[in-house]
Amino acid sequence: MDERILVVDDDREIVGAIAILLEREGYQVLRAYNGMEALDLALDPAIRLIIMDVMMPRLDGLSAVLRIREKRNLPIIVLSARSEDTDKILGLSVGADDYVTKPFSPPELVARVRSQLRRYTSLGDVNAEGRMDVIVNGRLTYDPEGMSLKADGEPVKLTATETRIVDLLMRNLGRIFPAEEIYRRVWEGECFAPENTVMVHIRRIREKIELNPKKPEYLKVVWGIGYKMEKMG
Amino acid sequence: MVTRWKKWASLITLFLGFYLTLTGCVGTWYAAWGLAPRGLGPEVVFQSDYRDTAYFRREMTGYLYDVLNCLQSGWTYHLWENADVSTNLLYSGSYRSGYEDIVYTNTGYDLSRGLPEGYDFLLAFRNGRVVITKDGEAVDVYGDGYYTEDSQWDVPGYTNRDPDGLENYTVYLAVASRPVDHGWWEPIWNMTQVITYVRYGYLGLFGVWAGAVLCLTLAVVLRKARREARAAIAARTAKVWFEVKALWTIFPAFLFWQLLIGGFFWGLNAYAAVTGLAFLICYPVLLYLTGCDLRHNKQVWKNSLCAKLFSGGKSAAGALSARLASHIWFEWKLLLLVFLPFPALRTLSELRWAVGYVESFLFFLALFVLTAGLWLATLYVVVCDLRCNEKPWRHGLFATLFRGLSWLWRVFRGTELAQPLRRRFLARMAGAAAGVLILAFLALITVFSYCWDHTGLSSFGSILTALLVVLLLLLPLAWLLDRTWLLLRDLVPLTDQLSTLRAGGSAQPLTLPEGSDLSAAAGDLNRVQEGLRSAVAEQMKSERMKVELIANVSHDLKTPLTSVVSYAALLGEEEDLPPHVKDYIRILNEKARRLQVMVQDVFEVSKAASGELPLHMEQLDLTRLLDQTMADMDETIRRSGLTFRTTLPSNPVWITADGDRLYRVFQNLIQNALRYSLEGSRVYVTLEVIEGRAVARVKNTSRDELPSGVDFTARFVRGDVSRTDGGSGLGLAIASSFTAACGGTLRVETDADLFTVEVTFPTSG
Repeated sequence: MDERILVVDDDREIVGAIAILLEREGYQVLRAYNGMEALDLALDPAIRLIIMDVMMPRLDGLSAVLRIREKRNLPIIVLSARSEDTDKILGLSVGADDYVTKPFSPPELVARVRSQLRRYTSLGDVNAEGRMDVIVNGRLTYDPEGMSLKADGEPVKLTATETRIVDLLMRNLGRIFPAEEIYRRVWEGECFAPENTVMVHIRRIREKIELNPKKPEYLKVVWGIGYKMEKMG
Repeated sequence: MVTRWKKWASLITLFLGFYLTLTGCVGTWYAAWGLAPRGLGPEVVFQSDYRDTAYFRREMTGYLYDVLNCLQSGWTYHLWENADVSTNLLYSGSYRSGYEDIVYTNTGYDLSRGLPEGYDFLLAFRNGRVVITKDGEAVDVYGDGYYTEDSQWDVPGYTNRDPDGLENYTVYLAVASRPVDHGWWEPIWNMTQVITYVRYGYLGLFGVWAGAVLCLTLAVVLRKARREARAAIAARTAKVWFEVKALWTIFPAFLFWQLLIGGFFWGLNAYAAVTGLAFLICYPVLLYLTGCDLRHNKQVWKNSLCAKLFSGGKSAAGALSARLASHIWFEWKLLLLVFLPFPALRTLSELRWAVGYVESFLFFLALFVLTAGLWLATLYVVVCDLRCNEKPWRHGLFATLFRGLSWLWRVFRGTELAQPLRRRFLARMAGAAAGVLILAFLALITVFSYCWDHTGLSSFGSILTALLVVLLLLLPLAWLLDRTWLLLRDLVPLTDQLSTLRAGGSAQPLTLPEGSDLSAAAGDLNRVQEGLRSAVAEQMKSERMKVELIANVSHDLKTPLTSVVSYAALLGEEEDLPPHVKDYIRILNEKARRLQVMVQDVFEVSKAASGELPLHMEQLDLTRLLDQTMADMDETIRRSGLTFRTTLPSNPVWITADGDRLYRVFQNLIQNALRYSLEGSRVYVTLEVIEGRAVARVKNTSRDELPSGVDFTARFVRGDVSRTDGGSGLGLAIASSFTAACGGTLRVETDADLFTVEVTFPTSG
């Protein structure tokens, strides 16, 4: 692989650490230490992904993202110490594809990078195929006919029960299902306390599809109501 | 040492001496005023012949006059004209009235011829002179012929005493030489008897006086012993109730008084009289006892029945009567106490006429005792009530009435105050105006009638004058009402402004018309409003700055932390490291992660505390949320070795909250329980709905002793102070602030080792 990744952060040590992580995975890493440098380097067409810090001197990360978006369409992961929902929403709305809060766990960052890159390449395929019967939701692609789920274009191996849960949730994106309903429709029976059973399966599915199963983005618990598959923009 | 008998002797001699003296005095008095005037002076003791006594002379003279009186008046019933009965005194009286002699006699013997056999004393009254022959010898009756007080015979015939036309009367009186008892009341025999008795009496009186002197002398001799006897008596009387002593001191005096005024004593029968007399006789002794008591004992009234009954109201009887009394209205008790004696005394005084009969007297006595007893009982109850019960007058008719009235007044005030200010004042002003108008009308009538009656004005003129006067009087009142009306007009916007201010609304500055009474207040209010507004703005600004500061600090902490975490992770992936270095790296990783958690927690709890936490409130089922939380943490729970006992209702419990935050709350609570519970113990998670509130509880048994007086929801507080385990110390603080942010309350309770967290939310829907 000769995929170049631009890492931007005013903290050199952080850039260094990310570089080590990514280079170990076989990526080439370009380093920038402020927004302006990033703008210069981002013009390199070999760059496939940018990891961008927000608070930087000279030009802050979000402005840089805006400027880069004007010229290039490539995945950008925003890296920020701000963990507020509002910050995340702001970051995503200016054109970032993902938002990772500091301090991040190294494997998660690597997984996200990989996911973004894969999506960036495979998404084009999906769109090219133009298959309308496939349900696309962010990183996830679900084929209702074949009952097969792909995450970042890679097939996810699911058990029969998990497949049925995923089938139900992917067909009804964003809809909240109470545990009883999931149980009734998946197991086709009644259960006195389905919460535990359903939760166990949800957790297993998360481990297969989520980048960080502890902070799920797709398969979410709506506390006090039920479960849902988040509908991604 | 004074022996016992000496003490007794001293007392007995004293009392004996006293009584003997008393008896002697009475006897002497009787002798002097009762006997001596009758001719029974002390000299009778020494006269062997009774015919030599003054008494005999007086009696004989009396008989002489008796007979003379009979002859003069013709009435004979004074005389014992009975010839059949033997007697020691013979008499005959005759009156020469010209042609015949009128004779009264009790004997057939003609005494003018001399004495019959067995009689040796003859008193003959002839021609206005008395001749007495005793034992055949004539007695010198007249002495020197002049009558004096000392003359032995008080008979007619002295030269200085007018014979008073008794020349025609002749009387003979003969006395037997040895009087004998003829079995009936017979003058001469009786005379001898009287003289004998009097003689003995005088002897007795002498003996009494002698005894009295002897006893009193002894008493004086024994006065030292008596002093000790008095002390001994006082020691004994000290044990007697004061009431008894008072009774024995006063009651005989009362009896004595009754005796003197001749009161109801005569209505009593002989026994009662005797008892009364006995009482009187004992009276000096009783007085003496009282005297001893008063002299030797201090505060004699302390030992009394009343004192015992009232001793602090602590006695069982006192407490009981106080409790009983507390149920009775205070007025009843007072009425009984004050008014019971009046009708009772009235009835008793009306019954006094009946006192002459023994039965009625007993009835009277019973009634008196009953009434007095009732009154005393009432007094006792009231006193106990006053002593034992706090403010007993609070429980009474008037107190109840007063409370009722004040309650009514409060209710009236409450309903009145509930009205809007404008209406309230309008009502009050209307009331005042109505009163003023009525007064004005009355004044009008008064002035008019005065003018009509006392001045020469016509009716029209009177009305005009009255109207003028009343209007003049009404003018200041009308002015006052007008000012009040203006004040009210300005007061309403002022209070409205205050309400707006309190509600947090930002109202325009208040402007009142020029010259209003409240302009100054309105100005003050505007200034307060302005100050408040700027203060709020200032506070909000500082609050925002605080949150921003925390966010910045948190950011500044996170940036180096990122490097730490990343490089520690990289280090951990290095191979061929010695085991101890790997151990170091593990510790580094662990601590870095903990630091990360802590920074995040601090940030969140600060935001929540400053009210800046963004919330996504929605209806959710708390039962389900707890179920999900437990399911979510199932693995951790199972690994912990603790047993969870979950009691949730079967139906949904709907509340309004932010699900994610609430999940964090219960996650923290359960983590807390997992972290600090005693190994193998049970954790109880319960949810119930109590009075429209959902109450969730997490109870666990602490492993370590819980410190008392610690606010567990404060930041960085943990059960153990050493802080060596994995928690940030913010679990409960986060739970508490998140709960508060969602509109619930979190409360921590500790009971010995039992640690209970109670999360309460109002239910919705």
